[in-house]
Amino acid sequence: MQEVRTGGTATTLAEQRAATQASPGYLRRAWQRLRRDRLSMAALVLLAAIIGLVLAAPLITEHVLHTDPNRTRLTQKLKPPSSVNRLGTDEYGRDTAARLLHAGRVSLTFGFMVMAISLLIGVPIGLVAGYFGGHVDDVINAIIQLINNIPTIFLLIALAVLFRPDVKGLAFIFGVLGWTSTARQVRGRVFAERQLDYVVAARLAGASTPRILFMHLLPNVSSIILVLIGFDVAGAILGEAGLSYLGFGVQIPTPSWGNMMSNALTYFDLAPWLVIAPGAAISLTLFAIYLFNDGLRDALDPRLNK
Amino acid sequence: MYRYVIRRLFQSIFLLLGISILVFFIMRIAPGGPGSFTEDPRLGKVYQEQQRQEFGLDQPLPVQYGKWLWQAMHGNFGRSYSDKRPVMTIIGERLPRTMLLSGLSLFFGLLGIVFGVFAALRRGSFYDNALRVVTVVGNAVPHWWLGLVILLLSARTIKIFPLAPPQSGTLGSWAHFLVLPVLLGAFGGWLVFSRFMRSEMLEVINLDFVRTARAKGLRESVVIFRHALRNALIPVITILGGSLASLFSGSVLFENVFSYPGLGKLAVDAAFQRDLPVTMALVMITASMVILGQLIADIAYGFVDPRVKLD
Repeated sequence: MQEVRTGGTATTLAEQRAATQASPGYLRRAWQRLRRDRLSMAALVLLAAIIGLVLAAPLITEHVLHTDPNRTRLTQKLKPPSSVNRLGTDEYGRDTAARLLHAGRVSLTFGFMVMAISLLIGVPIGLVAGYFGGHVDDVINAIIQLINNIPTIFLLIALAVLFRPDVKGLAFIFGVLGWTSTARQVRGRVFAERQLDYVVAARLAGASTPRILFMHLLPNVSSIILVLIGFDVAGAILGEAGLSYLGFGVQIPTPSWGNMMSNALTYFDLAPWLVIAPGAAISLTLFAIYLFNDGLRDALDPRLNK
Repeated sequence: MYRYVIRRLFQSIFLLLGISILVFFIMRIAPGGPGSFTEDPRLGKVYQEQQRQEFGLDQPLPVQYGKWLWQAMHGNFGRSYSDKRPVMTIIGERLPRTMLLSGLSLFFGLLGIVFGVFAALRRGSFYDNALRVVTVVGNAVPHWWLGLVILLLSARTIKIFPLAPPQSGTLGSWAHFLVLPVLLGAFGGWLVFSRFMRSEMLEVINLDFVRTARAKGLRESVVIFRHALRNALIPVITILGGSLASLFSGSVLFENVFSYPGLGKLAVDAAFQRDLPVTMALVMITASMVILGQLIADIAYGFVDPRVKLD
């Protein structure tokens, strides 16, 4: 019996209700564990700072940097970092710091879009595969195998050339190729959960299948999903950067951390800060996400104390 | 055992067929797709039609697929749209280079096993914690970007690493060039293998048979190396199965960062030129290797670990 969910044998309806309401307590307890972990909290603060800076990009560029990410000043081309342009300028004299903040909006939005698409596809499919098992599971597994065995990078490159997608289109392609790991993880957990008493009880009480899947099973596999959120966002940012470096990612003039870097390669010798700054932004963001995720996983599953 | 192998073989063939159908049709249906190289208005109507016929693009899609499949099964992936040579010839030229780079990376990457075992044996030590930090940081930094930055620093300062492969170099200059890409490739392996090995080793070390070995009074080195390590190594087979595929696909990003003329660079060039036969061949050959690698790993697992029953 999952001790977090029911405290003893719930008999009356009121007790049962109290028992179901214990499930937010699980998250609250995980949060308390997480708060005690200083490293994870530091990572969370860093992550919040990055997201905050990126969200406030228009305000910061206007009021703090006193510039505009698209303002070109040809007299100020490829200037090294100084007190005016804190991260230097690019080949059009645009302020790198301002562009970095604005590109961060694109890169982070891209990461969140890919994550949302992967979860929207992967979670329901994983729930269904795990709950029904049998032939349904076999068919879903075959599809997952099919997608997983396609060499993604070659296909991504080809699709990017053929469809010339915008940011949304690219996020869609990433999501459609990336939901399989979500589905597999959710499936695995549902497989273990479906024979537990609370699922059987819900079925006996006449709950419909969607209700069992989304109201009963989903909350109980939420811990896995919470961890996957971070990995999906991080993976998408990294993937976009790589694809952009090759010239197939988010297309200019929309700046992203990836295409800022690939653009800067031409000025590799003259302006190294143009290559270093976006890469450092990606690394710092991923570092914060991975570090936080590590703590989150431990907090959500205290038995996993490795 | 044989039944298992045969069933897995059949599954693999169906999987490959499925992938080929999916990829073939996506590429043909795509807007910039089927032979858009023939649609250049400067070429003239007659020439366009001639080209379309020459590459079989005037036929219905299922017929095109059927022909492609029949030829592919005979090891013929057609001719490249851009340089008109057989695709297999082009891939044949590049394959050894990619295998050299990824093979060396994988070989040195296996050192990660040693790092992981040490971390497990000295759990909680400075070394263990340092490895953990390196792993988190190492996963956050894009390795190809790290390569770029190192190249950049080296070009601006003491020029340790050459920026591009030697034109017609001697063995020594190639070896010199390969140091950085191989090191970065191996770094990826260290991250994966060390973390994996550490957790496997920790798991095995607490099992009863290790306690029994200690209780028998065996020397610690014998307990660790002959009893624990050999069992902890078994799951590495699975990762190695996956790595087999990377020998062939190589790292697209590394090859482009270092201008290394392998399959990864070929994939990028082919995509830019919309050279679909080349892209198709690369996808299918890599997919076959991925599937073959998994198959070999699964079967090998059954041989090495008698607890796994294959049927």
